[in-house]
Amino acid sequence: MSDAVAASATTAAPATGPAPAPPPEGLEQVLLRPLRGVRWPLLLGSIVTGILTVVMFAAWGVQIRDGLGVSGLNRPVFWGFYITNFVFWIGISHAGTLISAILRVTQAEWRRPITRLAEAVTVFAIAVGGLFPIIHLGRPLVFWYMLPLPGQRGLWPNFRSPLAWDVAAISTYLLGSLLYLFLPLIPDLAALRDRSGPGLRGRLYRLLALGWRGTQTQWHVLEAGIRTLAVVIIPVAISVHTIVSWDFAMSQQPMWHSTIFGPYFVVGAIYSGIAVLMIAMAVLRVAFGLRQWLDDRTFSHLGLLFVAMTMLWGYFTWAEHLTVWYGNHVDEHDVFWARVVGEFSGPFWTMVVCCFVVPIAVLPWRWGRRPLPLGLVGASVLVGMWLERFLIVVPTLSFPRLGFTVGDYSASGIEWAILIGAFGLFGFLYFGFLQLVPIVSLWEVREGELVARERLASASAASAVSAETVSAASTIEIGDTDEAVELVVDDLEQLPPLLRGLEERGLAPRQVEVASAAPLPARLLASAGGHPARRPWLVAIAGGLSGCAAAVGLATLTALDYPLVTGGMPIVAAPPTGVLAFEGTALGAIFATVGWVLWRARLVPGRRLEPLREGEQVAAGRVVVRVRGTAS
Amino acid sequence: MTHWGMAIDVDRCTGCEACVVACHAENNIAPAGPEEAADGRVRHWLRIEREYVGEFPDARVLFRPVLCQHCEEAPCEPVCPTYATYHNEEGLNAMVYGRCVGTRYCANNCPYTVRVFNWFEPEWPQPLERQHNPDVTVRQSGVMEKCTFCVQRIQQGKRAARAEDRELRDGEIQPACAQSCPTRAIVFGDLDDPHSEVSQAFESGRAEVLLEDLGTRPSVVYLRGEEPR
Repeated sequence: MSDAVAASATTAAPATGPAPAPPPEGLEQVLLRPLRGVRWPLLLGSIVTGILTVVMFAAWGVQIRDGLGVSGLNRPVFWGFYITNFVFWIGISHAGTLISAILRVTQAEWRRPITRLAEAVTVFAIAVGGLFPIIHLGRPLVFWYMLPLPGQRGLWPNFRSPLAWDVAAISTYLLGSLLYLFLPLIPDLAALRDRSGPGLRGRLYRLLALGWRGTQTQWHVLEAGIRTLAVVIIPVAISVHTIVSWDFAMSQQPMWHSTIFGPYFVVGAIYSGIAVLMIAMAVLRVAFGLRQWLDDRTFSHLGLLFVAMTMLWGYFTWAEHLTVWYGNHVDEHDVFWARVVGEFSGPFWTMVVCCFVVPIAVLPWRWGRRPLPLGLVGASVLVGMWLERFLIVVPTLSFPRLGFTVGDYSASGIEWAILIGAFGLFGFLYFGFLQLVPIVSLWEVREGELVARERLASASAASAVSAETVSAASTIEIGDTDEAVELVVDDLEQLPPLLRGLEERGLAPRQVEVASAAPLPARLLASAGGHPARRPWLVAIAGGLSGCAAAVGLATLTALDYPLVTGGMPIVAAPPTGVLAFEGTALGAIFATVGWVLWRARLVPGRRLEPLREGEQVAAGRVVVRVRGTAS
Repeated sequence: MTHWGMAIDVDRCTGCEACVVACHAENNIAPAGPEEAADGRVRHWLRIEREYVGEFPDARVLFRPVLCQHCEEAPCEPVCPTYATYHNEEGLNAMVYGRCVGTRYCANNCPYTVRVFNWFEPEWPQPLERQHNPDVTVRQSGVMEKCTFCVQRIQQGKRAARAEDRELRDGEIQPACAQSCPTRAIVFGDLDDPHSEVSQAFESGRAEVLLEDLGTRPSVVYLRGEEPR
């Protein structure tokens, strides 16, 4: 049905309007295709990755049944593939949210087609990465001992432990990223809702769209909320991989106990994250025919960003190894030489080639930043970054200080199955997402087209006003009941005279509501629907302060109530409390911002707006003006 | 207060490993078996390290029993997310098996590599099962463990003294390793009592600490340098 509507809307586009951008329907048709019916490539992808997922969980099941001994771990190499995978996947999760947030904050226009696919990478990579600390546990079924759950068990987490910080940071990041993916998804879910029937899909979209109508107030609030969330989520992303690095750096072990680890890990995380982003973009561009939006220029931009990340990674790796070599500390000696020329030199030099030589050789050239080579460079960097994490975890543990026990680790079949299965799980989740929502944000691309159109329009602002519009404004019946009249506007340029006409008839601004499929530029709106939103950052700060107080309270008061001494630290140790306070602040700010958006945009139960009768017209890209009677 | 400590005379130790066996028997430590041992999964809470000193022909081998050093500032303790390992008021680095979820972070952060993990459910070849110590928990798969300074013997000793309404006598409490040592190389006792044998050993001038520069302040010292008493 929507194809017909879309087609008529295209033909109805006015000739008088200033140079319209390529019709948005093209993108829509391309993007909504995978959501309708069965697409064989997607289905095949889901089946293959689904099988890998089953393999992973079967292997994990065997490990839970028989014990961690089915892995190749031993004394002294207590950590191996699982922790490597954990760091690897949490690293990948830095692509999406961080990149998308940075691009949103800097208002880079080329972000529009890539934000959603990047944010989805983040959410699913954290979901996979977050499993690994549980997979690696000796007793995975009681992992919740690490959570602060009040009860009669006499158990409480030790907030001085970096692993407790991990729990705090990763859950904050997962929740934040999920909400950061969800908020911009709401309008597209509403568009899908308005186009789908009463089936299961329709019900799902109706549930998730939270009654979104597309009024200008809602757009205003949503965009302000997304901007605030983007600012909050950047430091969270940085803190997450810093804390992951602190799992190592807080120890006393040779080549782990290093202040460089925080930034080194963050850089490596963003680096591997962009690598996955490039692969995903290259694949989606071909598979979904998104050539027009994921264009060569976007790839070239990312490629150049990637060169910068390669340099940064090289710099950190060089700095780490140079200082160790020069310092020549007796403890670090064995680990260093095992990495560079000893038993780990194979993986080490493979890492150097994959992470540094390959990108530097390929990316400076114009052909090297085309999608295919870029995707291949991404794959090479992924291999290298996995090896980097392996080289951080295993060699250090293989050479304990006393030298009597020397490690000899080789991964078992179970560990390999879980390593490979994790890629399957990630793919499975991603393929599912592709079949549920458009992978390019429809409204954001539309908004981009409107922004471009505005730039051209501002010169010739006064365009011809059709007589019909003026008469529409003066002749519509407005009752004195709550009944509302809905007017469909085909041509955006007819909107200002219509709104003016309504205003001249003495209608209050709150009686006139403008619903659209993307935020409309202020020029078109006059006073209607322009309810200025209160500043969301005030709400975010208030939420952050409450979150900070809650985290400090939780860590401090429970420590006083559970006064066990560890490692000679004071019961209430200020520095670890600071780490938790940071995550609490971020979580509070995220919740407050999202709560503010949901409340102000009337998306919470009890405040929801009833659906528009002409909702389908909004979904098709037209503007609907809803005029309410005088009674209310 | 009491602060338990141990002095091990490496000049007396003959490396006979009686302490290792006694420790296994006392603490219900399952033998790993040859295959698991080859994979680096022996469960000894106490191991004998060898050290070669001097030049030929005046060379000799020192044997050093290495067990949990019960550090005052133990790196293993704060990294545990569930307080499964913590410091008790008698200076013991205590393990609460029930709280342990098996992150193995403590073992990674132990510079002495004395922590032992249960990779599988423990199994004893018959008839070893019949000599289990009823005072010691059998640890399940996925749990970390290590030397406890035979905390069950410490508790027994304190109970016995309380029943007779008297103070503990020095040397009354003996961990299994000290009890089984044929050369009496291992001395255990209260460091807060300046007259105890172990305190004297700490002050003897022959005492040295493993990896002292890490600042972990162990409760175990090694005696060497002069001829054995």
